[in-house]
Amino acid sequence: MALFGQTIICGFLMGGVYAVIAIGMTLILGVMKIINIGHGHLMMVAMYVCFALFTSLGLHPYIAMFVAMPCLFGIGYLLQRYSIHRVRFVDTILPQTQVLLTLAIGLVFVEIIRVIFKSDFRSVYTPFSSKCLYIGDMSISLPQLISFGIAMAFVAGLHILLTRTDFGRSIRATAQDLDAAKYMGVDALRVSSLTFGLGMALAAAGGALLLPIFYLFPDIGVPFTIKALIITILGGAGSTVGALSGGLVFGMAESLGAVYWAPGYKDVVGFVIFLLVLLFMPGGLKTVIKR
Amino acid sequence: MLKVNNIDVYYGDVQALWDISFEVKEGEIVALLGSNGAGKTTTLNTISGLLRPRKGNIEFLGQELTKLPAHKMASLGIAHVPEARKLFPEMTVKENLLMGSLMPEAKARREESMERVFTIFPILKERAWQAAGTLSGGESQMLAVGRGIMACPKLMMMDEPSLGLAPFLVDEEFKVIERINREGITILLVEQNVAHALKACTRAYVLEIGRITLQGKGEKLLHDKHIEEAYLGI
Amino acid sequence: MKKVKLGLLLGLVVVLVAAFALPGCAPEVAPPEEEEEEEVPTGPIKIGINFPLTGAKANFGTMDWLSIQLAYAKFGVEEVGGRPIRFVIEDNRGDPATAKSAFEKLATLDEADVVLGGYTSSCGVVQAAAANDLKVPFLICNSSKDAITMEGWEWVFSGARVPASHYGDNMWPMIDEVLMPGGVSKVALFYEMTDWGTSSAEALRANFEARGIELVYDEPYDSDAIDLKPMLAAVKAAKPDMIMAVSYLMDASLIARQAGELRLNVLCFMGQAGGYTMPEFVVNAGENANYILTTALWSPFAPWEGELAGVKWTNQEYYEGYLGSYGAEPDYHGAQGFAQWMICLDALLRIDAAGETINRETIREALTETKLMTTMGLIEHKDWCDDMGHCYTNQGLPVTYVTQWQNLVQEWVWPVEAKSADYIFPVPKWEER
Ligand SMILES: Nc1ncnc2c1ncn2[C@@H]1O[C@H](COP(=O)(O)OP(=O)(O)O)[C@@H](O)[C@H]1O
Ligand SMILES: [Mg+2]
Repeated sequence: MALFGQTIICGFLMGGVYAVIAIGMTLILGVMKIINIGHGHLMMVAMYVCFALFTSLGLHPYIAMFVAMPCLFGIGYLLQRYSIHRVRFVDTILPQTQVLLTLAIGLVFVEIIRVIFKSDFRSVYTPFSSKCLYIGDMSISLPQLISFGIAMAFVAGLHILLTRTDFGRSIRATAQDLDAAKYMGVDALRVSSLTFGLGMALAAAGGALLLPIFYLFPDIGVPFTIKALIITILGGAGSTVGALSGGLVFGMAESLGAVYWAPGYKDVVGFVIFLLVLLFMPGGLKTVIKR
Repeated sequence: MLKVNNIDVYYGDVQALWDISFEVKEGEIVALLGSNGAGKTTTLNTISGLLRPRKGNIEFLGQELTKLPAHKMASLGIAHVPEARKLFPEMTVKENLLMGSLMPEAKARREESMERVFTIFPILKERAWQAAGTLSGGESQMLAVGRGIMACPKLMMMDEPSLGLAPFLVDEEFKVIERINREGITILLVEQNVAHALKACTRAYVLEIGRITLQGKGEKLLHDKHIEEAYLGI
Repeated sequence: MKKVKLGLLLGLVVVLVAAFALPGCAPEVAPPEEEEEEEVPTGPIKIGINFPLTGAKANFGTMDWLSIQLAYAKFGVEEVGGRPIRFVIEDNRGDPATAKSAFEKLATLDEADVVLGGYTSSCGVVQAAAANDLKVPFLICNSSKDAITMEGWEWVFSGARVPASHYGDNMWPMIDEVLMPGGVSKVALFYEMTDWGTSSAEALRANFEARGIELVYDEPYDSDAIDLKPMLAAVKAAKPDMIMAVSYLMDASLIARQAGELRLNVLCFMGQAGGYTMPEFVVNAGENANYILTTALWSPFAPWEGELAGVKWTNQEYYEGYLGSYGAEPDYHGAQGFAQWMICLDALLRIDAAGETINRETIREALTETKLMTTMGLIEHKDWCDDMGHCYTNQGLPVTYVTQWQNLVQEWVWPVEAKSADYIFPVPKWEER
């Protein structure tokens, strides 16, 4: 029983952080109809920003994230406005040029970071990193709990932004019908650039929340891109509720898989979900969870 | 108010409009008629800035439109109620209406406009929290028009508002159009439903395969030989 | 407009190509001109270097190469038999395909006389195979997969490198003499799902079973996992007396931290070299590293010393030299690199002393007769079989150690003759630390 409880706790806490990372991707996919393959790589950049602030100024990632998020917002905004957007209407022999471009941009960032920070593994370890609460025989990691709390605050904040403000509604409108949004006077380029920025800022938040409980090296991004993609497919593109439930389900599946199946096949769990969703629930969880 | 001067419009290398000119004066209902594929939607999209004329120009209240990006039209006071409604299906009725009033002037009068829409279309008030994608055809059309009203526009361009509506709803629709017009909004109406449109409009232009072939007062065209044969089936 | 499109496309292609291919592709230079077969070569003695020097695996490839350079400087031999020694460096980025093409380039274009390389097992395998095909003596430094020296490849020399299944050789006496009498009868074994992890586990499993120790948990895990707590919770539920873990650096740190969080109490936690021995382990795991035992391939306290090329050296001197020159502590990877240059230089000097010409064939012959004290202990290249039925070619068997983290410092606790501190067993419970 303690084992089952522990497994659920671990999966749930991890799922919350996954959700924040994935929500950025789902937002970008919803509005721009592109999969941002560079997502994890840019998250990695944010983690290095936090890491640098930790080593130089002693700022904890929970604080440094408020520097990393604007940085990544700016990077995302400029990338969309001056690079990704420009290839939108270019016809090339390659399909999905924009997707390939996000990959190329991501790889450029990896190499830049490698030049600055080397390939070494880094982590932000403070005695606080190992603090836990205990319920009977089960432990709840305090930093993970805080990360989860902050993650949920971001998800809720984003949800409010998207449903209660003109800017948020414009994002959703652009995602649902680009031409109609233009008829309403929405500047689609501005909205897509801000959305890309927002998506990157959320990825940055996810990275910062991971830093106290995980570690860091320049190639850390790829598995996170894959996880975010699976969660996006699982949740349904463009949906905050979908990404949140997708993140939690995914975290839980990984955790249960590791305990009751085999810890060596965590990735397989992810891909099985990926396939099943594509085959049997192509709209994702958002089609199931209707408001 | 709106002046379209000798525009040629292309899709890629295929020409869709030839030397189109027409005018809409303040307070009028001007109908742009024509059968399917004549180029009516193309004309409206060119005014809205989604398409660019290769030749000619468009003026609105003395301002040149053809150089402005599409999203600027709303702030000049042009509302476009598009063909096939183009609602935001996953947003609620209320959210769709709010999307109509993004421009500062319209935003300032949001509450008032919303009330106005709800008095014209009481059913929308009942459906306020329902996703637009779940509305019936008639309700969708009402929402599309309501969203246009929310913009407090000077000119409203309506692309086939009666398309796909049951006959009694079509009558309703035209009443609403006349009502909106009386309340001070100039209307450019695109229609295939020639009989209804000619009765409602001040003046009309007939488009055939990308060219304007006839123009005149609504009443007069109603009795035009060519119109009777080609569109009214008399 | 057309131009812009073309430019963008070209730019994209260039970036993609650069990101994927550039590090791997050596320029296709025309094949070397057919020179007349000379009896006595007069050019430099070319030493090929084939490590990951950039990319994700660069840390240890770089440590190997720096240690080789340290050894080169230490013994000061710059020419042998009137021929200068020249290093030809190829960065393989830790990518097996690149490692293979780099090896072929060293063997053919550069005409290297001997090659030093091999950090990850997946690169080591292809390099060793290429060495044997192209008949170039290859001194393999770290790549630990057993099979690399089980193919009968006579051009591959693995004196200072330890096959993965022998990493823990010196742990078994400690288990027999200390841990089992202390109450260890149930073990949880988990290992990263790599060549190294699985071949280590195979040997560990056999040895535990031979002692009648029950394996209450036995699973590979995904080393990229972000949260290893679910696995550790399952380990805890299996109630082992001892944990045996095969992990790389960062998963080792995570495991130590998360075992602490879960209060996964056991009589002892034993790591199999890898991550648990590295200086960065304690940085990343903090006080959770304390009391963790680990097998180790090298100790800076090991009493090895000797003389080569007329220069006296000690093991500890290497450690201090590396720390002084590069500002970081070396670990066994570096010690293996240092030893490999000693082995290489020794072979060259013996050939010259015997009045023979230095070429690939004579180097290979000289290496089969190596018997040299190094930073990895006494190294000989021999053919032998172990009790798992693994038969090795040109394989040495360096002494291995057991260390324990005590007060954030790695102390050598076994064998007792090479110890720097006494072992602590059983270890205190997490909540009592
Ligand atoms: N996106 C498009 N690409 C190419 N041709 C188009 C496109 N949209 C419309 N057309 C063509 O332009 C002409 C006018 O179409 P449209 O303006 O939609 O007609 P209407 O609205 O009067 O029915 C038609 O021949 C149609 O096939
Ligand atoms: Mg049309």
